[in-house]
Amino acid sequence: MIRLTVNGQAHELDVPSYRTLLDCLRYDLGLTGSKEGCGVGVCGACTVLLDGKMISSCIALAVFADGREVTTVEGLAEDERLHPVQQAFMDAGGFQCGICTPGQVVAAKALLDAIPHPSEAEIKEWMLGNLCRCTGYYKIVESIQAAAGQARA
Amino acid sequence: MIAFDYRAPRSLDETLAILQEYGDEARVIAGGTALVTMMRQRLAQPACVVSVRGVAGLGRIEATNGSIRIGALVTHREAECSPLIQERLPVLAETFRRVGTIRIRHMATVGGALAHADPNQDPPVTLMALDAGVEVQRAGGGRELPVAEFFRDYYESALEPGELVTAVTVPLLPAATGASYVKFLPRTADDYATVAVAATVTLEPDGEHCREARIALGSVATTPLRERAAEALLSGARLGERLLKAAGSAAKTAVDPLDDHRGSAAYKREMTAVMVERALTQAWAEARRAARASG
Amino acid sequence: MHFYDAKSHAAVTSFTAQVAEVAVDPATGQVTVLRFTTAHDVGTIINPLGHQGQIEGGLIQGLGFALMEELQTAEGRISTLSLGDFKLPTIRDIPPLTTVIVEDAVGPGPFRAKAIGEGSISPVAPAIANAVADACGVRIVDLPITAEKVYFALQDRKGRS
Repeated sequence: MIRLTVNGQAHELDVPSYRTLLDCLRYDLGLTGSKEGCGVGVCGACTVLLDGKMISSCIALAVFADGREVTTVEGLAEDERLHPVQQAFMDAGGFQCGICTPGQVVAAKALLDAIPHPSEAEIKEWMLGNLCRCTGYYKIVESIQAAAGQARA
Repeated sequence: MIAFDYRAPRSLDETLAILQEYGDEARVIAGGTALVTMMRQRLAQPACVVSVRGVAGLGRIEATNGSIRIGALVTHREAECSPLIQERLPVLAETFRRVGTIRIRHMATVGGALAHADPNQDPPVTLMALDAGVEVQRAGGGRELPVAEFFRDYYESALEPGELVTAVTVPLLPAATGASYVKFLPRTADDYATVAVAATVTLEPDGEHCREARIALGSVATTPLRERAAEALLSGARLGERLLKAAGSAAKTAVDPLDDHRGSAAYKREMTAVMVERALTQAWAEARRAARASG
Repeated sequence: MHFYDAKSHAAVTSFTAQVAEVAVDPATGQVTVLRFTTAHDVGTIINPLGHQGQIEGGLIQGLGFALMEELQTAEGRISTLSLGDFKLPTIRDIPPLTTVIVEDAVGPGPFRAKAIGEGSISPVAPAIANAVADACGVRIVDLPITAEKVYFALQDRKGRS
C-alpha cells in the first residue's frame, strides 16, 4: 500500500513491489501522458518530477513514491491555462509527433524552476537526457528560451 | 520483472539484520537506476529487495580530519552540487557531474555506484585515484577497505552477503597537487566512457619534479584499475611532454579492454595512452597552479 | 535526351545542398561538426514553422546516421538492445545551423508547394564524409563515421607513407 500525491491529488494504491512508477502512473492512475520510450532510463519520455526533482519513472519503483509528491505533464496546466512552457512549445514549434513532448515539458519546467534564465549551455546540459527524433532540438531550445522570457516571476 | 519481497527498513541495524537473514538472496536498492534496469532485463532476480532509501544517517557529506566523508545514500547530484566537495575536491564533483544525465544523478547514489561494480562507471575511477576508503557494515561489525581493493570482477565487488556500503571517505589532496578526470566520449555526451582516466600529480618543492602521481583507469578492464607502472615512471622524475607520453604508453600495456558498442579493444588500448597523457597534462597544470597559489 | 521541367512534371520535387564544417582530432579520430549549412529548393511554404521543423529534424536524423547510429549484430542477432547501446543525437550534439531557402513557387503540391520532409536527411552523411576527407585526408565510406574508423584510417595512412 502506498500513499502518494500526484499533481496535487492524494492517492492510496495497492501496488505490487515490482510495479514501476511509470506503470503505476499510466495503469493504476490513468495518467498516460508519461511514455515508455526505452525502458532503461535513457530517452526521457517517462520524465516526471519526484518531490520536484526530475527522474526516469520507468526505472523507479512505484514504492519509491510512497509519502512523496509526483508531478506529471498532466499537472502542469492550471485549470484551462497552459503552463508557460507548454504554451511556448506550441508557439515555437518545440514538438512534432509529441511522443517525447511530455518528458520535454516536464524537464523544461523543472529547469526553469531551478534556473529561471538559463543560458543555452545550461539548457543543453539540463535537457541532455530528453531525446527527440522529430525536431532536431533547435526549436526545443527556442521554446525553452521563449518560456524563460515569459515565465511567471 | 519477477516478483520479490520488498523491505524498507528505517535504521541501519534493521537493514543489516534483514541482509543477514536473506544472505545472497537479497539485493540492496537505493536509487534503483542500476538494479531496476537489471531486474527488468532479468539479469538480477533477487528474492528480496531491501530499500535503504529511508535509513537515517547515511546521507551526510562532512569534513573530517583531512578528508571528506560521503554517506552511501548521497546522490550523484548532491555530490556534484555540494559546496564542500566543489571547494575541496573539485575533481570529484566534476566526476559526479559527468555521469549520465541529471535524471540518473537525482537517484543514483554514491554507495550504489560502488556496490554495482561496473567498470564503465565514472565515480569509482576518481575515487580510486584519490585513494578513497570504503566503509562497509554487517550485522555485528564493520570494516574499511581501499577502493583499489573493492572491485573483484565485472559487476562483482568485495562485498560479502550481508554487507552494506555505508560511506566513502576521500582524503583531501596534498599541497602542490593537481587532479583531473578525463572521460573520452566519441559517441554522445550521455554515454558511458570509452576510456576514462583520473589522475593526480604532486610536485616537489622545486616545482618541476613529480613527487607522486596517481593514475586510475575506467572502462578498460573488468574493474577500474590503478596503473602502478605508469605511476612509477613519474615518481621522482622531471616532468615534461615526453615523460607524460611515455606514461601513456606504459598504461596501454596494463589494460585489457573488451570489445563493445563504445569501441573495439584495440581502439580502447590506443585511447588509453592518449587519455592518460591528457589527464596527466591537465593534472600537472593544476598542480602548478596549486603550487603557485600556496606561494 | 530527357529533361525534367519542373513546371510540367509532377514527379520533380526539390533539390538540397549542404555544407558541413568539421574538425577532426588526429589523436583520437573524433569528428566534431562545427557548423552546418543547409540550402533547400522549395515551392510555396505553407507553414513556415512546420517547414523549418522538418528541415531541422531531418538534419539531425542525418547527423545521427552519419556519426553515431549503428545497429550491430553478433552471430545473426541484434546486439544493440536499447538506447543505452544504440546512440541517437542528443541536444548537445546539434551544430550551429544556417538554413538557406531558395523559393521557386512552381511545385506540384497544393498551393504550388514542393516536398521538404526528406530533403535534409540524405546529404548530411556525404557532406560530413567529404568534410572529414578535406580535414584530414581519409575517406570513410561506411557509416557511421566513428572516431575509431577515422583513427585507424589515419594510422593506416601514416603507416603507408
